[in-house]
Amino acid sequence: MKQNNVRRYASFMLIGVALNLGLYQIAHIFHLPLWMDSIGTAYVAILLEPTAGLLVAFATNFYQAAIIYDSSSLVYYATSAMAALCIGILMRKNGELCWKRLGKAIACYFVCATLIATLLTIWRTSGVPDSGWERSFFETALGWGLPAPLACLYGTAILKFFDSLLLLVVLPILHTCTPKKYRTITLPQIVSWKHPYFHSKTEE
Amino acid sequence: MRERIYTIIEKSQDHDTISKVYDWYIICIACLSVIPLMFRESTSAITTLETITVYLLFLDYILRWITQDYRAKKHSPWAFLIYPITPFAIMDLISILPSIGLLPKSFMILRLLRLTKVVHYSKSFQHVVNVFKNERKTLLSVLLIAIFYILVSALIMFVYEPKSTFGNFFDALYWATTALTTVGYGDVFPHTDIGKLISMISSLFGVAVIAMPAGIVTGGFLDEIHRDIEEKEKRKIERKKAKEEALHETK
Repeated sequence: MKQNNVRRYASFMLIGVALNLGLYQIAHIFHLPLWMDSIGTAYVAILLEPTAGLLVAFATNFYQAAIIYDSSSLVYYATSAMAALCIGILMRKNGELCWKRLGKAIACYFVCATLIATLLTIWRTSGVPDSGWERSFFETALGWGLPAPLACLYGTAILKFFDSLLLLVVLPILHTCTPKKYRTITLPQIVSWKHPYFHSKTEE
Repeated sequence: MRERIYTIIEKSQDHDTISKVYDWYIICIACLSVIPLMFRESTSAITTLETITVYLLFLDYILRWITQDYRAKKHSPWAFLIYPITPFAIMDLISILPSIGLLPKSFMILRLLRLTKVVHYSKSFQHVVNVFKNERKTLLSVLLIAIFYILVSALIMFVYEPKSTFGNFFDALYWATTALTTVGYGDVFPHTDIGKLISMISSLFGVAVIAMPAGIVTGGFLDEIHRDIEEKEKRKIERKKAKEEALHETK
């Protein structure tokens, strides 16, 4: 990477981490039923590339584990990573950013992150969420007579749903506010089998 | 970005300083991460050390995962899907899982698998591994002889010694192994004359059996080091030649 590019990547990744942590603190202070700690990750994954988003998610998760929780929260990195992967990859068509795909990408993120978070909670705590809002929704669902795993899924899904809605609104705004010269225009697509990038490389 | 990450996290080449630093950093982190195992009770400092080292090792795992297509030299999504089931990745993950509460406390010892990173990056360890690879036939035959002798001497002991000395065959095997390796703890010892005779032979035979592989490994290790030095010198000469040629062409 050229020096300018390194600087651009480093700056936006720092901004991404700051966004994640800042918004997470806001949600925490105002007791909102949201996590809001994946907005920076998704923003960087769109603006730069999914790999950068993965690193932002990692830094955020590390800070949260070291300062707020402990090493057991490491497993939830998988859900933050989903934001970088689903949004960073699915938003691109032949390597170019395609805003028409935003809804599909966020829906995919919602489904994957909810399932992964639920499975991890079931594995770690036998399905009893340890965060305030999730616990509250979980208990409501239990009151309806739902079994514990489904109640856990419900509790997790509500928070992830609000998170996804927020992403749907905030991401285009953040991207529009970013000066054009700082945006990555095209990237080699890494999920398509048919993409010429892979064929040319494999033939080599 | 991924290509640069790949060159950094792979074993360092001669000219790549950042990659060299990364190799040493991973070795240090792997060593530091087993320190919490040395304490029975956990303090806040130990917990912090555990958290930080686990995260840094996990970061290495993630970086390896996202650059797997370069390592596998196969630019397809399969490279990423297959990575978690590669032996090295499984070992990395198993060594991390006990620290994040996804495996019971009894699996804590699996954290020692983190030390495989030291083996992976350290040149000296690599030399030892190479020696074992090159001399595997000789070492295996010595091992077979040792196992055969242990079994035979244990059987003789078990048959001739009273039940009070060798209660079961495992006791006899234990005695035979400690006698052959000349360790001899002295907690189990023969009482009959035949037993004592076998014990004497075991001690003499043991010296030969243990000294043989030690000599093979030492010899092989020295050969490896000499080979390494020769290769380095060759590369130096080649680089010098290339430089001179370049200089000659510019003139």
